[in-house]
Amino acid sequence: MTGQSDNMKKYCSTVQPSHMAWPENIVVDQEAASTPLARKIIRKMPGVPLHTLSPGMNISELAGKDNRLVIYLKHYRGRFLRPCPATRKYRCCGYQIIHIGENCPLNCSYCILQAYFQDRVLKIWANQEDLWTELDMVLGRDRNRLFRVGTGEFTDSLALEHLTGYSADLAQFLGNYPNVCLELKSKIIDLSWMEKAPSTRKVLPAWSVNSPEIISREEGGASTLEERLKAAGTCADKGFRVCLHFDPIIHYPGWKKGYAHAVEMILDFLRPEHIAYLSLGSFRFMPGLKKTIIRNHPGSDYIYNEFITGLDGKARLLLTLRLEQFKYIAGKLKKGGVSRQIYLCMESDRVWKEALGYTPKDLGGLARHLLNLSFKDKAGL
Amino acid sequence: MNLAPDDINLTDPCLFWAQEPGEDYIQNIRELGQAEPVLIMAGPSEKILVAGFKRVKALKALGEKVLALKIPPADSRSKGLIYLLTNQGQTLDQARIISCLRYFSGLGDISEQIWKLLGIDPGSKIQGLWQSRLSLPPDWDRLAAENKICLECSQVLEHTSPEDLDILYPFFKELSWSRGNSLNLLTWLTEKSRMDQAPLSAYIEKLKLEQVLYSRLSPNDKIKIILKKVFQSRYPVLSQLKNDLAQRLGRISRGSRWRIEHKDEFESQQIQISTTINSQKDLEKALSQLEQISKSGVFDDWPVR
Ligand code: SF4
Repeated sequence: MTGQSDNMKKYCSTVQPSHMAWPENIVVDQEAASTPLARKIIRKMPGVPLHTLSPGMNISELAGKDNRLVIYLKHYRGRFLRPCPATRKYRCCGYQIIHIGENCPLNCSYCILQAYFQDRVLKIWANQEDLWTELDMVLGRDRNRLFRVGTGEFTDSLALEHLTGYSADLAQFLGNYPNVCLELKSKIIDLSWMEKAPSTRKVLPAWSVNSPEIISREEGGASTLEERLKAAGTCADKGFRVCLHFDPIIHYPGWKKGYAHAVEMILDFLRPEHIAYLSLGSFRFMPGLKKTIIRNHPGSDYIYNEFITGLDGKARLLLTLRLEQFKYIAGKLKKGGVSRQIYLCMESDRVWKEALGYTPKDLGGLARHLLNLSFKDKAGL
Repeated sequence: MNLAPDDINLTDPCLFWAQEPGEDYIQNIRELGQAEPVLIMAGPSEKILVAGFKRVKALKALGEKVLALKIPPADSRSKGLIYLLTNQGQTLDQARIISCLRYFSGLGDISEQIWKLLGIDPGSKIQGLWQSRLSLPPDWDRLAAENKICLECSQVLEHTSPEDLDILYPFFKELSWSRGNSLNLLTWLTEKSRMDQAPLSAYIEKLKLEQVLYSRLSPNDKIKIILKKVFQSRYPVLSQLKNDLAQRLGRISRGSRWRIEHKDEFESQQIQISTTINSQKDLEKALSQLEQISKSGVFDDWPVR
């Protein structure tokens, strides 16, 4: 942390978590400057220089080229709610993503965001009123239609929660929509949203999980597996069901031991009925990301595994190798009592059958199955 | 001023594209005379040529004096720039670009102006590739000049140790690789060595690639065998699967006119069966062979179940 940042820290009224350094600047779109969210965030960091971006100006003119950490409070004009990007060739889970911002303060070596954003500008959509309007329009249109929604396609759901309280606001807002279940997926610990969650049945706190070695080597700034599972245990104690995502599963020397340990830890902290669902996803990436990973994370040699080009054009681990991993991890989980909650991310029916013994069709379709699991009362599992 | 060719020093490094004149060129000078003066710079005891090497050599061959223009003294960078500007019409092939870049990089940084004069956009991907090329030892320039190694390969080789580069050098000196093959070879080798944290030379030795290189096989066969060995080492499981499948499909289609292929890297069980038919008789035969293939249980034994 720089001396300048130390100074800022003195003035800032927010406790800064370990996963994120102090921002050097806040930039706000003029149109968004008076929104409650922008005002709240600015108030939380009174020592951080604030710049207002007039209409027509570009953030790059203010953010500078020196790779500074910048918080950008943006008036977002795109669609807030989008379906999870799926492909025809592999089975997808029918999830809808609420777009709340872009970029992430964490530094996972495999993160796709490196290919999209070369800067350290953390964008937050500050015009929440527009978000509420759009959500009401889509989610409120037919209250009998169930939705699984989550944040964090282009960011971690909770990495900026200490500044924004976005997830808490969402949980509160969606409390009025009995047909919506909100999943909050993260690699850090922030349970502050809990206070505003109207019911334990409407929010599914979720963590990405991985073997402890992969977390410490490849997920810079993220919480340890133990911290994540402890937090998951706290949620379970409060009556929430949690979701876990083994994604990306990485093939590395000693992976069996690492993933067996991860499963053991999960079962130490959670009982099967605490887990709403659990996904397994093998590492897959746009071919262009490989060069970026080699450049930004030269020690991440899993990138030299036996990857092939999948039917969706993305690189993925050779089928035999990922099947072995799926079978192994699923086998351990099943032994521990986690079974029908397990699903595969972006895999074909053939892989499902081989790895799990069932296909999405056997479950009545993956999207429907996950909806059922999301809305199922805890006692019903 | 008119000078005797032997009174001019032709060895300044700024003449980085110096080229002996060919017969046609000498003939042109003989017929038309020297249309443009060469540029010289007066040194303490001699006259140093800054532009016009070919003309001086041609005039010397013809026993003529050289019409020269004297320019004020300049540092090496300016001399190089003058030379480059006076040679703007030259075709910019790999050999010319690299010799120019070597000259200026030897003087420190290469300015944006130089990149632009070479038709390379500063900050572009292609500039990055040339910078990688500069990081290779100068003896690799000759391979590039002979089109034996593509520009993209330089990037793959950028962080390779001098020892490993020495071991790789003969593979490019002796064989002419296509762009795709050379990139595959180097990418697979360097990735394998990074993954196992072992020098590249260890793989070359382990795979006995030098034995193949210096064998009596044809150059094409050498390339094929080297690539196969390196691929097997880089992708052991995938190559095993591919081998198994090739054998299985070969067995099933042996003796028939059908060609069976699988193109999805085992992500699906899809196969493509094709043949060419010229007559009704061909068609009948092909159909009966296809029936045999369908009874062979091609999918029962699929390498990835
Ligand atoms: S937490 Fe998610 S969004 Fe953030 S760097 Fe890691 S993978 Fe990327």
